Amino acid sequence: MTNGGRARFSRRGFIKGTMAAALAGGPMGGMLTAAAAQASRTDATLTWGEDQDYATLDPRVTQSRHEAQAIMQMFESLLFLDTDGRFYPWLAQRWQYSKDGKSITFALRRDVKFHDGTAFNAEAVKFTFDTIMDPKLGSQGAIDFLGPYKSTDVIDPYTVRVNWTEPFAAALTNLSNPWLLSIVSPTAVRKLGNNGFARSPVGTGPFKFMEWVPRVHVVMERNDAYNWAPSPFKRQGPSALKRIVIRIIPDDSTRVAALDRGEIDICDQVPPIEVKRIQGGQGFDMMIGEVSGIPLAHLINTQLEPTDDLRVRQAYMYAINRPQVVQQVFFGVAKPAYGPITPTTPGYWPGVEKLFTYDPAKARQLLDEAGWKVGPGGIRTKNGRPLEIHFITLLEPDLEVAVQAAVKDVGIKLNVERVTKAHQDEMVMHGQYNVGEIRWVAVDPSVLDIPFFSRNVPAPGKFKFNWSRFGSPELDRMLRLADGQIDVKQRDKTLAEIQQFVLQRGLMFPVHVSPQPIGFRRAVRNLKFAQGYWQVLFYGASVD
Amino acid sequence: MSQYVLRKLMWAVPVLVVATTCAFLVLHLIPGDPVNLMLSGRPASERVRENLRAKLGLNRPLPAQYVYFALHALHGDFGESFATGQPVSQVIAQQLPASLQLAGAGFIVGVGGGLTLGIAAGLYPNTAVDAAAMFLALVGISMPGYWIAMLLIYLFGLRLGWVPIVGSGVPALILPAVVFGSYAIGNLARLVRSSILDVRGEDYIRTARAKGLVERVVVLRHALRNALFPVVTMTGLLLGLFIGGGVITETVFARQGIGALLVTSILTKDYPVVQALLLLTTAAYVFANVLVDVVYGVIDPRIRYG
Repeated sequence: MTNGGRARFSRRGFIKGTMAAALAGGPMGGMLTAAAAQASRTDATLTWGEDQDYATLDPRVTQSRHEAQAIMQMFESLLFLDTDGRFYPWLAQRWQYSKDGKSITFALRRDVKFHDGTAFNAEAVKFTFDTIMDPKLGSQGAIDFLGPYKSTDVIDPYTVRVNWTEPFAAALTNLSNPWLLSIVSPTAVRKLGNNGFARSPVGTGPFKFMEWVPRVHVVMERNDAYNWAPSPFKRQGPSALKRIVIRIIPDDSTRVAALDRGEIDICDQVPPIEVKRIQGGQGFDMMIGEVSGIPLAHLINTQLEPTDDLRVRQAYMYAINRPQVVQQVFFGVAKPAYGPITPTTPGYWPGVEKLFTYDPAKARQLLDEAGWKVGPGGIRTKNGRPLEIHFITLLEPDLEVAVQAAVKDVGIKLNVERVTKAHQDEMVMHGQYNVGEIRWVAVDPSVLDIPFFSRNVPAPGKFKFNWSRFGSPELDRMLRLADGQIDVKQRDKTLAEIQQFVLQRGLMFPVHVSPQPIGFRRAVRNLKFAQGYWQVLFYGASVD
Repeated sequence: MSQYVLRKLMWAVPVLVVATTCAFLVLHLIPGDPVNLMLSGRPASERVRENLRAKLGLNRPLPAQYVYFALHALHGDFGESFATGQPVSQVIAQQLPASLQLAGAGFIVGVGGGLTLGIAAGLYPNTAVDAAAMFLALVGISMPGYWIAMLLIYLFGLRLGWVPIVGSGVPALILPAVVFGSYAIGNLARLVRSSILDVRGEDYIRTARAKGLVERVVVLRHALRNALFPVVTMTGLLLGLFIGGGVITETVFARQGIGALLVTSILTKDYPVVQALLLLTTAAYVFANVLVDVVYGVIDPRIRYG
């Protein structure tokens, strides 16, 4: 594909384009008033084609970004964090950090009701957070998002103070998460029990739960009482959409065919090869989210030969022409990633873009210095042993095969082994790999703790994510410091040091930002990416 | 006869016990922690993992887990799905009707199509009819289900727009039934053809012709009836296969069904669901076998079960 094509499909371009269309294309320049709302139908059903099946719809339990797509239409959190990186009032109108950074006090809205009629108040907030901490619930995501949670104090019916045992810099970001720390109806949980609630959830959001048929669909209907949308929606009152259907279609080509046929309005995870066709097709459009968090990245084992040698790790990183490899596999739909967190993640340090850019001469020089001399077939050897790097892949085998070809040029033989999840876990716990791959959607940079904190080095029986198996007091100190820095400027400085450190030590080789390519019928308007650029919020959308 | 059936069904009990015990052992002995698989690579903390292990009862020793499982299974209680927390019976009950629908429709298409093609080919061997029928049979056997499915979706769903791609109801059942039945069509057609050709050379066919019976009667009453035996055996096996579910058909057409449920549950080591599904499919095979024996007796009066 030409450079022009690449530019056209750059995701940032897409996002900007979509935003601009939403702002300028609307009849009131984004100010969606009653008149504008009338222009679109109010009886429309919006059908979203989803690529993965669901197991729970309880925000306190889930850890799946797929379930989040349904959950965040029905639930709301205390704050709204928009894709512009700013916090807006939502269920809380104001908030205030305590001086020691260990508590935040929230003044709550007084006019909010859950779908079952229960009033939203300080009790509901306390109930939600306290039950998340209960081991019997089996929380998979929310409990980690509460961090060093201590307690919630009800100060009066509409004032609540959340306390942590130590200063918690990720607190505001995490509390703004609309699918993990959103507030549940205490009445409904008490009535239905945890398992019942997971299948019949009750929140405060713009859509109410109606039906869930496993492996088929989740159906939601407009909450007619809704009147507390956060300001970035530029809309108030009930949604223009009558019904939302999340249709589970696991097979990529079927899902795209269903979009072509008009059986669904929106198709998530459009395969990169289809993006251009849909974009150019009549009546269809694409928006591509540039997902926040950890990009698709290679974690390099520092404890196993030959990657225990820093020079080998650095040579590996210099040997791969990221823009080229990513273009080959994603046809311009994904952007190369240079840092351990992606550009849409708060705290991103642009300096990463200058580190370990493609330099095969440098790679060869490093390998020469490390004693690996070019041998038969172009593969380097040392003491009669070939330079083999064992790569276990689960997420993106196609990409890793392209990487395999790239590093061969400098004399590295990359043995790419495709593994099942169960097999991967075993090899990770026992350290039997040189390189593994990860990627996560996350909004707060504290996600860096997970692959880099020394306490997260895997061990037999303990599956964890520090796959570079690198523990250093210096890195731990920086990570801990960033976790507690409430001041954003100071924190960003620490985060920049961390990003530089992990690259220079050859712990991680970031490859590409995860794309969320969403195809939709052009009649669907004002779709909006949620924070993290993975899920789409339906509240402000309409159908012509 | 009924005594024979009863005895056969009694035999199912040890078969089921052995099958579930083996499944339990294999599932637990192969590497992979259900909690890690359930979290599927998401960055959950050790605290989350410990909570889940305790909640799912995975922190107990293996023999204790087996006794617990066996005692409850005896009472028809398979526990709760690790993934959803729902009772297993409920999880399966939600998926089973779709599977039975697909099995029924696929069975009709497969057996109907297979018999028709096979008889046509067998009656007119080495003609254009034969060649066409055997070509279709070859396609059915050798083309992978997902590829047939994609071609059908493209032609009938997208280009012609005759049937929905992922809808519900009878129209949405047509393509899945064809895909699901295609393997059976191929298998049966070839089998029916060769057994008809075998039978055609038999003395009793010559006798039937010699006594002046019209060809239709010769074919239906004499040739086909005797050619049916291998077909019944094969149909019985297919029935078991069908009830076991069609993972590919279910996935490609985004349908409910126990086939895809079984695969997901095995991959995530959702033990309770896997156990119950294995019991169910084993029972389906046993049932299909008994049915085959019964049908033998019906079509061949010489066969009597003592």
